[in-house]
Amino acid sequence: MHRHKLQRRVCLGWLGWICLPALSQPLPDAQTILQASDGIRNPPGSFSVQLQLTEYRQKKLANSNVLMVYARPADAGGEYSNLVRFVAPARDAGKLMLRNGLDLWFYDPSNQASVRISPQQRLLGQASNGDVMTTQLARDYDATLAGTQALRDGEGQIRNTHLLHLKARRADLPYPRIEYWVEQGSHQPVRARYFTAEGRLLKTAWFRAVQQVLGQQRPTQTVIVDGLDPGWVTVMQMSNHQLRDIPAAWLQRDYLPRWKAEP
Amino acid sequence: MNTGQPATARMLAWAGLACAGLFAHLAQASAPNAELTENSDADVDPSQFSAVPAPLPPTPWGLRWSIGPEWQNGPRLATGMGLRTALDLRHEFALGPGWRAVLSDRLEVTRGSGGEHQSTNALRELYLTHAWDSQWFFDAGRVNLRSGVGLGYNPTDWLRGNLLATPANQNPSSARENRFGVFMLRAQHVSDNASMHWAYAPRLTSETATTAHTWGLNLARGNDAHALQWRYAPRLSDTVSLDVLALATAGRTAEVGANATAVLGSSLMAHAEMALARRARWTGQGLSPSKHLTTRAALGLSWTHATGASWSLEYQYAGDALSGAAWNHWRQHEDPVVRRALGAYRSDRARTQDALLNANWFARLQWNDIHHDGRFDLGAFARINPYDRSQLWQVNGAWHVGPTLSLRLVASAVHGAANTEYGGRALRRYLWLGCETHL
Repeated sequence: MHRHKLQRRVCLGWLGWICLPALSQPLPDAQTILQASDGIRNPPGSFSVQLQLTEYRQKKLANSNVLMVYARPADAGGEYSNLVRFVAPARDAGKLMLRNGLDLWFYDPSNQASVRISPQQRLLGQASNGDVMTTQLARDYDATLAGTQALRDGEGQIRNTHLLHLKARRADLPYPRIEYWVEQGSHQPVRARYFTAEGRLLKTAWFRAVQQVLGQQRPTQTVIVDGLDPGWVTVMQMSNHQLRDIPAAWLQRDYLPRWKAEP
Repeated sequence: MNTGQPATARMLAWAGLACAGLFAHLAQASAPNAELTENSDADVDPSQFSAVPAPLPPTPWGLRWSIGPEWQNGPRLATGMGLRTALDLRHEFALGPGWRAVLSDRLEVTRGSGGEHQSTNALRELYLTHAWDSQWFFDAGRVNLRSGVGLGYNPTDWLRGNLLATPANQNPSSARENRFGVFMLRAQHVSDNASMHWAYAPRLTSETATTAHTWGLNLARGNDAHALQWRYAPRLSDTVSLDVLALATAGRTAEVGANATAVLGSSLMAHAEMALARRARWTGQGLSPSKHLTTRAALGLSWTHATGASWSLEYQYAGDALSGAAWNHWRQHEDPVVRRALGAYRSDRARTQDALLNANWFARLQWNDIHHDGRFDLGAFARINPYDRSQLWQVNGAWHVGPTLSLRLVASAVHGAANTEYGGRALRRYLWLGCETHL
């Protein structure tokens, strides 16, 4: 009897010795995961990327645009300053949209007018989809790990993910709250849901088509579903990534009439 | 006056409102359902949607051709259908590293209801530009230099006077586009945190033209005096923008001005534009002999609805223009001499694009991409005289049939008696339906 008790205690002690380190192992740090994912979504430093936007309404092809995005990390905060150039269709070619935080300007070469627009107007336009790609979330959001999930990704594959809840540190950010799924191990972004401060879903993004880009495996397509109208789906294809110097002067509103398309 | 005209005006107004209502209804039909909330994306399978690669279009030439029938009506105009076609060109020619030539021209041909033809060609801009480095730029030639953040009135847009090339469109943004530039030398410096420019317009002619030659350079429309303009635009913050300007013109008083915009919320913006100068004031007895420091200003708010419709309201003030009391006294005068003086005042203020009265209201709706499919745009604006209650409105709708082809409707009308600001205009109702192609 004593011998059985002793054997049981030895076994329990052995199990405890084996399992304790596993149980006491710290959970992965949410902010670290977010930072690693940022490094995958955004090339380091300033860069340009071509965006081909294919819009679907009720599953039917509705519209197609091509934009060039020139992004420079903002001096403060994690957002990029963006210059978006409209390439196609022809009637929009040459138009520019400049964004420095809340400072937003739209330039039309036909009348050479730079017009200031509100953040709401930007969020409605296709150019706002560029924000999804050019944001360093770890610098502007506090992340908490909400759990792990097996999630079907944008290509229908099951992926094991960390679910992060992100809360904006500043009131002027376009998305006050984000739910963000990051693949375990690779830290590839899989899915994100962007919310207003009141909890209204603004858009859902699926990151897919991972390819080797600028020395890193990065998603090259994003499927964006409108938060209030799920019949409005935009597929954003990224190509022609280039690391490049983007001077701060380019991101001045008075520079817009001077700006010339870079190859 | 023809008693049928107010009825037709009302019909046009109702037709415009019906068009706007139809657009609104169509937009509402496709507008997002507010009841769909957090789980609205749950049923969307992203793997069903693919990117459709499209070849990049060639760099457009900046050519826009429009053609369509027009209908106009007014007490001093031949009522009837005509045809208007216009060729707009704006192109930049790369001449070498840092060097470019800019050409902007508009050729317009109209055929009236009686078969008469009229053609005008306006060389709006032709200048050489050089980028010395990434911060210094120099321009020489005819440049259309625009200033101001106002939507319907730009007191600091000093180089606008007497430069309208084609007065066909009442839209203020079209007026800023379709005008002759001024021959000038301009230097601009753009740094990381500010921009500054100097523009010198030499005197090239001694005459001050009041009418445009249909095909000439129209040198007199802007270069009748030496002028120097300076502008400084520092970068203040994400929410506030500011620029300050000054203009010195030989033989005239100097002017100073400022433009400011502010983000008041995610969907609310404010703008203010102001110019100060010593000017003679218009009174009920004519132009006062002495000059006083007067203000011209445009103050406005713009609000964007969640659907994308952007509404703006602007109050416009011109301290040198007629007051409401003087206007009401003057416009009701029966003396032909006084009426001729008033007519001269009106045409002079219209030519220089200055306000007729010291107060005015401007309202605008701009709703681009109503269905979020890149097809429909709607714009409308109204000018309202607070003293005689006359109004001018215009509705502009565009249906983008394809990447390079659009159908466009422009309808405008005025309301008010013949002795009011807008009711007294020669053109009372106007309709144009045409197609535009971009090449």
